[in-house]
Amino acid sequence: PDEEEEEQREVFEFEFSDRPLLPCYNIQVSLSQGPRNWLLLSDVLKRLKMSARTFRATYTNIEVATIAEAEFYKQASLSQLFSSPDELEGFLPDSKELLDLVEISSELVALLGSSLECLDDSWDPVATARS
Amino acid sequence: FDHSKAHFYRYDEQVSLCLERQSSSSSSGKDKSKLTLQQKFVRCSARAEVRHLRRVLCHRLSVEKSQVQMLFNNESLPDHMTMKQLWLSHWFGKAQPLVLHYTIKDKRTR
Repeated sequence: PDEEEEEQREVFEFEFSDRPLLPCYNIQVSLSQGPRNWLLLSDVLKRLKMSARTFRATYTNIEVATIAEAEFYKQASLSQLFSSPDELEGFLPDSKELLDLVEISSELVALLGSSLECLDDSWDPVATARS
Repeated sequence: FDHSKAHFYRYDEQVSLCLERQSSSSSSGKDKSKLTLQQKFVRCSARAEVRHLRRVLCHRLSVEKSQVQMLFNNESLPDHMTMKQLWLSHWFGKAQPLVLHYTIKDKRTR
């Protein structure tokens, strides 16, 4: 996995979909790693028309992280890209409820029917069409 | 934590785009569908630049880079503008996705 990470250094990834993309949140869920890009598990389940139990049983390698809704809101609302009042409307700033998140990965992207296009520093597309 | 990977583009804030083709009246029906993205919703790093988007579009649509132009409100976008700059200057306060247009120039008319 380390080599893979190394290869993906400085590579721009473009996710293409024929359906509107699920909202993606740049969140730091633990002190041991920096911010990562996450989808809400509930959004993913809705899109896949799948229960949480089936999802967890089928995709055992996809890790589900949890974060308190208040912390999620605090971090997400700092983003200048979430400047529209509607974007975080459904979240409660003081809630202690836990939210389930799944990190964006090539596997998840493919699962959602999107395809990935990668561009390295020499401007060459390096990998395509994983859907 | 491990700072060595913190600069990866994949960990950047992501922008959500919708790329609509601004079609010219000269394109025929067949060309039109061939030169139009079937997957028009795109997500990428906020640090990606217009030139990167153009490059990817060229690859997707199998056309040359000089044929693709990116537009916002009918205005051509500079190649080195990042998605974050674009968002802050043209889309701040609006909901995702940011809607951009692209045109494909006919090779013969270059």
